[in-house]
Amino acid sequence: MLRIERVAVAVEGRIVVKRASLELRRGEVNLLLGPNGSGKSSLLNAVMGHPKYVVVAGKVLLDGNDITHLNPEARVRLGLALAVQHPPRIRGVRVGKLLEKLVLRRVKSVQEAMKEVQNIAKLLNISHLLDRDLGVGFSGGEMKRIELASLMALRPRIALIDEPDSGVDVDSVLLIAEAIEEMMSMGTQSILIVTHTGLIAKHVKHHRAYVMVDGEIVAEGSSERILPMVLEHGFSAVVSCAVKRDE
Amino acid sequence: MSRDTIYEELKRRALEALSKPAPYGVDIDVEQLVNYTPKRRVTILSERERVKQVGIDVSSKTRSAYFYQVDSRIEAYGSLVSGVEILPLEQAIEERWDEVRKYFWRLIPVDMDKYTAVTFLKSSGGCYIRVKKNTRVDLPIQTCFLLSGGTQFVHNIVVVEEGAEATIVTGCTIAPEEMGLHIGITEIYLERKAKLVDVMIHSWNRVTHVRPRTAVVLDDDAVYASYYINMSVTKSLQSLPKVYARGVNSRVYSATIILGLGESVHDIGSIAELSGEHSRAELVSKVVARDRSKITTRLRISSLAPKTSGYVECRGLLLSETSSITTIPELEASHSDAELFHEASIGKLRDDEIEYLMIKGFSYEEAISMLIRGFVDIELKYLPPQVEKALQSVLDVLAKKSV
Repeated sequence: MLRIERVAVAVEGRIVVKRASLELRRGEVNLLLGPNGSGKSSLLNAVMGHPKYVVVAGKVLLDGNDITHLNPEARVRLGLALAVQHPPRIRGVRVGKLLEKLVLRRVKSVQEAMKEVQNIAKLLNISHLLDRDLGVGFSGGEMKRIELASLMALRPRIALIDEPDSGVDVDSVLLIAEAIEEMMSMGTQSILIVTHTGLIAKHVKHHRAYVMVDGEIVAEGSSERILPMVLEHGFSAVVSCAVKRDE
Repeated sequence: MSRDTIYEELKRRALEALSKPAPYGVDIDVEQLVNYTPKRRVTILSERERVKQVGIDVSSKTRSAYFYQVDSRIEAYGSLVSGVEILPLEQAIEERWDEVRKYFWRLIPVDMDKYTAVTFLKSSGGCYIRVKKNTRVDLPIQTCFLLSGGTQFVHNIVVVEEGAEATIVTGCTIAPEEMGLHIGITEIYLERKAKLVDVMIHSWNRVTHVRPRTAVVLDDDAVYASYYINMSVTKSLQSLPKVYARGVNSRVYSATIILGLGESVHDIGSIAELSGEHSRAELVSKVVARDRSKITTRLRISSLAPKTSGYVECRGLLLSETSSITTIPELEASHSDAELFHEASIGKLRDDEIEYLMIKGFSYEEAISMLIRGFVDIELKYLPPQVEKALQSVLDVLAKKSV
């Protein structure tokens, strides 16, 4: 579905992803692992068309079509969506209103959208946050759950989820995992989860894993094989072992 | 004093003040505008859509009373509920002088500046609204002042009697590209336990000057909530309403929202003078400056009695390098137990907020509009539901226009 081919990404003229290739297939949940600062978030932002993350080499293909230079709005329309790692605090933009606007991108009735927002909020335990300004005074777990809610509101074909398990409590991780499963049952066809702790992987069924170190994908393969290796020996061990690409 | 004597005295003072400039705002040559003749005369019905933009739906059934004036001509007025009286001020002066005299130029000095003076001398309309004791009106009172072009000098008096509650929605606008000067004098009297929500929405054009002059007095336990929105290009606007919270435990809330476009020059704010014990004021301004507009906001609370409290919030958002905003929050206290706070900020839209919304699928313009809508979000708790909905829509339009 989504192919990232030898992509390099620059932010303000500085290369932050040197060379990354990966593929998201229908029906799969894939993991992107890597230490802090390895370029995982930059890659996801570039795939979404974030104006600051410029693809300076390589291609992003969606269903075989080159979307490397499309704006984010067009990418969302094609079925891509991203839950960011650190959403900003935005005064005056209410969580409920934002989610409603996202749902309204695919449904016409405001009432239907409001109802769907209520359901999403219930699932992610954020009903009490709907009338509050986005991110203002929220805990880490609440922020992550709201990001997941924004994905559920968009119902993308392909979801990119950046660090859903960092800085959050176990209860939030469980809710997020439940939401990810729910998304797959509601029509999301492929998910890429960035994680450096692997915590979320304990609660979500996953298929393949990629390891990114210093701006490059250095290993890929079955997540059942790669994840324990990373969690046991660390990313440097994976690099030194030079895991062969098994597929 | 007889009516003639009062008029003579007011006239003498007005004549003396005819050249007196206002302390703030661009000084205007009123005579030049008095002689201006618009290309065509409009009516409320011919401008039905235009007045709708300023919150006046003339076909609406959801109103308790209405007063529609075009230029100096009063097109329609009437009350649909008992307990609310609405009539032209001139008629009220003729028919009920003994009642009206208690309110007539009592809160606003006729010689405050050339604009109050000329309004007295050339007065062209305005209404007298009286909400009777313990009357609680859910539906708003609509007042609309439309200008074909030229001048409009309006004088309104509003009295909300003891225990009464009402909401007034006033929309003021002008035909496009017509030079104009709108002056609205409004004197508001809230008796004990009275509550008034005063919503005013303005939409002018690039060659219109606007000089509202408003003063409000509150008795014990009275509540006054004001929402002022100006959402279009205006040649110049200067206004500094003054609220006298004289009653014990009286409450004042004022929100001013300005969108500065084109070459507009706005100098606007409000003053709350708390002389009633335990009285409280909250004054908020949210201004957005685009193009080459200039906006000055002045918010001032004076605590003149024990146990008074107040909060001033001035927020400015600059959308261009060539616009400017000045915010002047002022606090004054003459009692040691007064509690006064202020917050002020001027800034621009943050890139990370715009980008965040963009990667959620909104276009750049939609993202900007959402952020501006968020910026101008205000406390609407005083508004009845149907007015709240209308005001939300107006703010939505304002946010879209700002992009």
